[in-house]
Amino acid sequence: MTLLNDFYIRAEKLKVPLNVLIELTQACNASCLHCYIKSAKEKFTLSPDNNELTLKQYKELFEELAGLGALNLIFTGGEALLRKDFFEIAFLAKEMHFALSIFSNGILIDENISDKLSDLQPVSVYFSLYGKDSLVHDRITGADGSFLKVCQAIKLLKERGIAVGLKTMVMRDNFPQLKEIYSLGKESGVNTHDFGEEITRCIDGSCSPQLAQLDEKQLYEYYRGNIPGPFEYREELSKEEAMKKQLCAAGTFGACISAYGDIYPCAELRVSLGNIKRESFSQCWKAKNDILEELRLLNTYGDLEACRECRNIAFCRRCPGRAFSETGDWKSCYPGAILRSRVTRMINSELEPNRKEQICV
Amino acid sequence: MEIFRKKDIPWRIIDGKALLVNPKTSLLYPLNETGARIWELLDGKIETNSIAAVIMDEFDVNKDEARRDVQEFVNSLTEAGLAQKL
Ligand code: SF4
Repeated sequence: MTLLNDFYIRAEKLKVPLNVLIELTQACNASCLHCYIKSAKEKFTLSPDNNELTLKQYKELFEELAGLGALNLIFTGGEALLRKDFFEIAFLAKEMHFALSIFSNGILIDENISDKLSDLQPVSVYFSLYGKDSLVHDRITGADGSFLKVCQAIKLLKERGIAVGLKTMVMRDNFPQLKEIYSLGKESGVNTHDFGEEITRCIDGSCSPQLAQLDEKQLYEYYRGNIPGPFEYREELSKEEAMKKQLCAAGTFGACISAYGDIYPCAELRVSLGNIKRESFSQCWKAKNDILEELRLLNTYGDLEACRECRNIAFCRRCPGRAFSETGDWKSCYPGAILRSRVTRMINSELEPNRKEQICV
Repeated sequence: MEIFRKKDIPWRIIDGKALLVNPKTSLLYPLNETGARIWELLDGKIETNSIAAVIMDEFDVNKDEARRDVQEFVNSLTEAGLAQKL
C-alpha cells in the first residue's frame, strides 16, 4: 500500500471530511443556463445577502474543520469573488494550512485581483469555459463580455504562475464547437480541462437547467467522439467485479456548506445535515443521521438494491445527488444513469475488437 | 541548524500520518509516522539535533540513525520547497 493510500484509508476510517466545498455566496454576475443554484425564473442578485455566513462564522468553521483534519477547501458561489471579504476569508483559511481551490466565472479578475490571488497561492483556480467565442459563451452565461473576461483572467493568472483549470459543461448550445473549445484550452496553456455533460436540477427542484442538456443522439456522438479523448474499449467487468465498484465518497470524504450555513454531504446531494448557525459542524458530521450512516455504510454498487440486477452496472457512473434530486432517494436508479450507462455500453460493444469477426461467422 | 516548515504549505496530520501539498506545483507529499513527527517539530524553534533526540526516544532508533534520518529528511523537504533554513 502506498503512503498516500494509507493516509486516505485512515482518513476514511476516521470519517475526516478531507474535501469541503464552500458556497461563499449565492450572488452572481452571470446567469448560466444550466445553473443549479438559481433557476431561470429566479433573478440573480449582485450583492451577497445578509443571511449569508459572516467572516467570524467562517473563522470558527475553519478552526473546526482544521481540527477534524479537513485539508482541501474549494470556494465557489454564485460567484465567490463577489464577496467583498473574499480575500479576508481566503487568507484566514490559508493561515490554517488548508489547500485552496477557487471556482469562478472569471468576470471580476483584473490585474489587482490576480496579484492578490498570486499572494494567496491557491492550488488551482478553475474557470468555466462554455464556448470558443463570445457568441456562444456569453449566451450560456447570460453575461455580455464574459468570454473576453475569462480569456483575460486565464492569461493574468498564467502570467503569475497560478495553476488554472477549465471546466466545460457540454450542452446543446456549445456541442457543435467542442473541438474548438478544447483547442482554446490547450492554446491557453491551462493545467487541466474537464468536460462534463450531465446537468443537475436546480436546488429548488426546477428542471429548467436540464433543458440545455444534450439529447440522446448528441450524447452518443459526444461519447463516441474524440474530445477530450477517444472512447476506450474496455472488457466488460463480470457481475461480481461490477458489484465491487465504489460509489462516490459524499458524506465520507466530502461535504458542502451553503452560503447560509447548511451542511450537505455534497453540493448535489442537498439533504441538510444541519446548519452551522445553530450547531457546530462536528456535531452534525458526527451525529446519528440516517442519510450519513447509509452513505458511509453502502460503499459499492452491489450494496444498492436498485443496481444489483442491472445489466448496465459495469458501465454506470451514478451520482447519488442526481438520484436524490430526481427521485427523492439517493439509492434509487434515475433516468440519467440509465441513459448514460446504456449509451456507454452500446458504444463499448460497437468497439469490441472481435465484433467484426463475430458478425461474419 | 534550525529549519522550519514554510508557513504557506497546506498540511494535515491524521492518525499519525501526514499529507503535505506544495501549492506551487500541486504535488502531494504523504509522510509516514516518523516524517510526520519531524514535520510537526519543524517550527524553527528546535534544532535538528534536538529533533533527532525526540525521534530517538519515540521511535526506538539509535542516536546515529536518528541524526542521519532527520538530516536526510530535512534536506529532502528543503529541496522540495516545503521547508527552509533560518
Ligand atoms: S443504471 Fe441505474 S440501476 Fe443500473 S447501475 Fe446505474 S443507477 Fe444502478
